[in-house]
Amino acid sequence: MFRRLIIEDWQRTLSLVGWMLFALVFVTSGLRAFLLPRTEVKKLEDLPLEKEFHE
Amino acid sequence: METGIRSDRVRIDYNDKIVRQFCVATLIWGVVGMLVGVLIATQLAFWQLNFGTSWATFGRLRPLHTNAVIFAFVGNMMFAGVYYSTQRLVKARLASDFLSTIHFWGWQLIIVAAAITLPLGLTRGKEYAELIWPINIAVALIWVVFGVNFFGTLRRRQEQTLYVAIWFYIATIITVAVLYIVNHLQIPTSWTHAYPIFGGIQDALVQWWYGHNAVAFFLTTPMLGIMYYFVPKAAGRPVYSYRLSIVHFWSIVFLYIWAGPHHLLNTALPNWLQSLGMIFSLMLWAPSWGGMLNGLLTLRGVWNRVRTEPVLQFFAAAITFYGMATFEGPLLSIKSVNALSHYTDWTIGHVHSAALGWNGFLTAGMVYWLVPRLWKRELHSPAAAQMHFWLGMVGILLYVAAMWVSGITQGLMLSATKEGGSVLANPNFLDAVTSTRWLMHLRATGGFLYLCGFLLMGWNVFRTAYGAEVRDSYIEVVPTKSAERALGLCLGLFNAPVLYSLGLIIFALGWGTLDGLPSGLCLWGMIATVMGAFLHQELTGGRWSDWYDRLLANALPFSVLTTIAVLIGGVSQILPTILMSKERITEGAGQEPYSPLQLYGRDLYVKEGCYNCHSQMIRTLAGDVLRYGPYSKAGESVYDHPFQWGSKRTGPDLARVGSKYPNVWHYHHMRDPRQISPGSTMPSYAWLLTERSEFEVLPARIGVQRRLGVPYEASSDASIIADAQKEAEAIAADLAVTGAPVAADRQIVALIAYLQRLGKVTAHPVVAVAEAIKSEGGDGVKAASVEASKVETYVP
Repeated sequence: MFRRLIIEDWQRTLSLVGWMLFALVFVTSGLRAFLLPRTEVKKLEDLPLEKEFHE
Repeated sequence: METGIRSDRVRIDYNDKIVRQFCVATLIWGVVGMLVGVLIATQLAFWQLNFGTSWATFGRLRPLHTNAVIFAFVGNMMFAGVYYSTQRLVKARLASDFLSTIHFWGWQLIIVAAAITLPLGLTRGKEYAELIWPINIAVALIWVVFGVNFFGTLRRRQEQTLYVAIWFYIATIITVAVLYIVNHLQIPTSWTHAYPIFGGIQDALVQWWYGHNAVAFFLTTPMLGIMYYFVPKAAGRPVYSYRLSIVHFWSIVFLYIWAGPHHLLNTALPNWLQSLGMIFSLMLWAPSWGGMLNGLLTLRGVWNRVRTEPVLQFFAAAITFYGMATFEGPLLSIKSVNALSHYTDWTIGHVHSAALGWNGFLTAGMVYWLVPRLWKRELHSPAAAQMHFWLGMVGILLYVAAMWVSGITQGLMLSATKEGGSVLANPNFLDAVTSTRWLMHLRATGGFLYLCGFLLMGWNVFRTAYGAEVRDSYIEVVPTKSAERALGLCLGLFNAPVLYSLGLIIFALGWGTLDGLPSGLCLWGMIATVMGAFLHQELTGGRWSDWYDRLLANALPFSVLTTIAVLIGGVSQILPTILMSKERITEGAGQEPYSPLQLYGRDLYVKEGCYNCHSQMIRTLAGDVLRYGPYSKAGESVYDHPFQWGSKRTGPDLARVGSKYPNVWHYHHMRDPRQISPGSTMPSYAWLLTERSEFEVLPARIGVQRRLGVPYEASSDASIIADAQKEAEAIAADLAVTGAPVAADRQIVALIAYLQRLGKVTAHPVVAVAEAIKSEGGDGVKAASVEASKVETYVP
């Protein structure tokens, strides 16, 4: 009884939703990362390397 | 702040004091947490080290160890790393010195409170969430202070673009808050006790959604942010691929939250959830290894320095352990592998390779890099730091190898069958315990070596810092106009890319879930959305990428989108299970509420931390069913607040232990486990024979259970207490007959009542027997024993 109730059709779709959303997130973030201008990448990746001063 | 600098610049003094404080705290609490770890590891080899006292047993100290290492050791390190790097990445002093001070001392007070309450047995009985409710509130408040201080710093930043490390910090702060609050929803029964609002399968799901993501968002994402800042700093070169770090972030943040159910494979959890947890765990391989490679490749060109510089050695090893642990994690999430590994030391080895290798070594590398900069002195002894590295490395390898061998041995021995799979090959559970005892020695030795490394580090840091004149660092920057790339919350969320994406998701869902014409229409909707998006861009000539670029410079909409990404997984898994009414969750099996005495005994079971060594979940596996009985159904624990399915079997499963042994067996077993089970490593619980049960707390506890939906009948406080006393007297009478006289109000009686109830659906059996005693006069005691043996054990 429990399994019949838990495994309702609308719940099966959650796995599908998960896959679709992940694909969307992955493709979108991948595309955005790929399209990021080189100058912006250079600026961002150098951020941790900026010098600071000590008295 | 502006002194002697060019007129177009402002000077920003960093708050390094708070970083120094957190660095010292992480060393102190790290040593404490590891010391307790070595002690409890040794207890598994030498039961005598439980010292016969209630507060030093494995069951009470193990939560102290895990909480100390996660929240005290790694927590303090995380705050140090976040505060140091954030100030520099956004070019702003922390928002408030006052909030920073509150944050530091508040967190230390919480740790002290945990260190006092956990050995006293004040616990919620949920792993990594054991702290009692007043401390939970303190944790939430201090976390809010941390969040306000962090986001306040972002608000006053001089660097508009947010570096990827900041993204990881944002995800950490938001997600930990959500996880912590949901898993700690509870109703107090007193100042030190509460019942979680979730029960049984719901509680299991929420707990491991929290437990797994405590690993993800407390022990991983902030560490990745720290890696992306400190490894380039130490190597003196930028991260290998900033583009890869973007994909790494979004994939990790989105995927991790779905993987919690892999802690509940082959249990009563619905299959669709188990599959979902397993699949998303496997998908985690890709981003985890992407991040690992990104970290390691950042060291390209400086590998010659890795041979000689302890900081780089620690970082290189930490990232390598991250890769190993994130390979092993998905591996253990495969159902068939999990059937072997779950409930064994393999899992313990896995978490320690991550905690000691990834978190511990990353901490060491960060602290060794920070200390000379924070105290403005050369490290006292680089040689001692190298010694630390090798002590730690040998310690981890010994520990992890011992746990692998032990875990696989336990898994194989306990699941092995013969005669066509109809008989257990090793029917005595203790055979697996005694066979792996020598590995417990090796494990304790490995842990001890690792602890020695950290003691050496403590000495090294002390010698470096002692007598140093500390001065905070500063930078000079040209002020920027923050409005230049401002993107309000509305514009950040409601714009063409987001709306087209939303439309695509909705149509895709419709296409996948509907039938016939609606499904076809949704397919066309998807195509139309994609074409519309292209047309829109062509016609308007708009650069959609501009939205994303501006998003990276706007913390608020960025944080909201991160929250949505994180919440999707949690809501998709937890909501359907919570929406089920408890009556419907039966699966052919139900649960009666515990009698007052059984409930009291259950609370003692939780208090003593029995769940640290005993599970209450017979999996759908031949080995489990042959050893313990019919597999557990979700309905059987629906009123268990909290659930006690457990995660490790140092002792056997107890789901159907009720009526398996007579009361007197439990009495002697608790008093002296080795008298009943030679070779057992279980501590003696002799104090349960003398400590009094406080039945007066029961009315409040049953009142809360009622509010949680447990169908207790209305009754007066006096009758609840009388019920408990009557049931206790029946058990005490039975014990007296069998040569174990004990007063009815002793804790052992309540615990026996609970243990004898496990696995049964027949409610209040001993009360029925007590009635029999009453009606049958003097011979009732004998009759009670006979009747008790007849109480039906549940067989589905």
